[in-house]
Amino acid sequence: MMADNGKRDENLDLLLPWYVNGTLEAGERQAVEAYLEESAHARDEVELLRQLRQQVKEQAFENSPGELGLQRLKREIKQDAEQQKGSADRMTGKVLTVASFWRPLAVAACLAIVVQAGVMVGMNTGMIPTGGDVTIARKAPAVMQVTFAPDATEQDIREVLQSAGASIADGPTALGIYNLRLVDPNATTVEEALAALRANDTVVTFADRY
Amino acid sequence: MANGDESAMDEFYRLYEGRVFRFIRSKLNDSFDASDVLNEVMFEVWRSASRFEGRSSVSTWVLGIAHHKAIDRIRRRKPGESVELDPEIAEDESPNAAETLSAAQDAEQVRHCVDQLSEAHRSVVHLAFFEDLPYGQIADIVGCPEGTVKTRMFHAKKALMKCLAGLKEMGLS
Repeated sequence: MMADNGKRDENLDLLLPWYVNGTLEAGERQAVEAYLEESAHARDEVELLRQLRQQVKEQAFENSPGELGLQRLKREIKQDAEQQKGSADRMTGKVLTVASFWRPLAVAACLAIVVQAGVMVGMNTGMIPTGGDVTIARKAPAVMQVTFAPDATEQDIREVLQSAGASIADGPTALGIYNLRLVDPNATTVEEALAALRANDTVVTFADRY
Repeated sequence: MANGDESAMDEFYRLYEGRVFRFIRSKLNDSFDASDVLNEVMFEVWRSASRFEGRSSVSTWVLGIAHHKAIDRIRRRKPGESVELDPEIAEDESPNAAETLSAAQDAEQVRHCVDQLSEAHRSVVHLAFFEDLPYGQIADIVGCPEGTVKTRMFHAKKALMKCLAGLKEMGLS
């Protein structure tokens, strides 16, 4: 039931919000102004819409991210550029060639360091280090590289690392890569650790030798 | 920016970040999600700047990207559920404007009622009353005909009036 407060025009009613925000074109504005002169209903509507607009304008939202958001964006732009460059290099075979050449050397160097560290500790203490020697294990070099899924929780990561017998040596790098070491090189091989990491592919998105 | 000038991106970000964030926030009702989507929008702007042809204003272009990214986020929040694009409003007896005017003067009540609107209705209210945009530009941003924008605003207003009248009846305003 309509209140008896004057003429109603459905088409002009639809324009009232834009009359209130001042963006109607001249012809439409004149039509609405003529409508307002003869319709109390339209005048009430405009008054309500003005009030609503004022309240919407005064609504306080939480602060926007500001400069922190800009820094985050710039990091992602940089990462994207590096990834694209990496993809382009792989397409040309440049990185593949270099990686193929250096990876065995790097692994061999890492293993040499591990063995040498073990020998030196054994010489100093007169004992061969065991898996229980946490201090020595923590000094083991990084032998693997991984990236984690963006939505992986700390608990997810902890469980995966424990199942692989690995711990974080350092990272993340700008590309989100973590370097891992074996907690106990005597108890777990790099291949076993990598297999365990790769088995958790919802948490670990990439895993390879360092 | 189209040539990969990061200082131009800085300037663009500082100019539009607040507006885009408020628009996304009005659609998602969640400031953390809104911050994430803002980042996605600005990243998309950076990547697609060279494809911007200037057929619309820059603000229409960036708010249009924000609209689509926010809709994607809503869909990811509720997989399997469709996003309500133009919800039907029950055409029952609505209170008249004069009856709800006093309730509309209470900022808290208005905010509560705006929050109850569907995403599609909140967007149009925000763009019309916060951004003060013409209905044609709003249609470009949300990707629908001008007539749909007008009817969404009409239904949004009716829903707000009904909500405000209900609060008034309960003695909350």
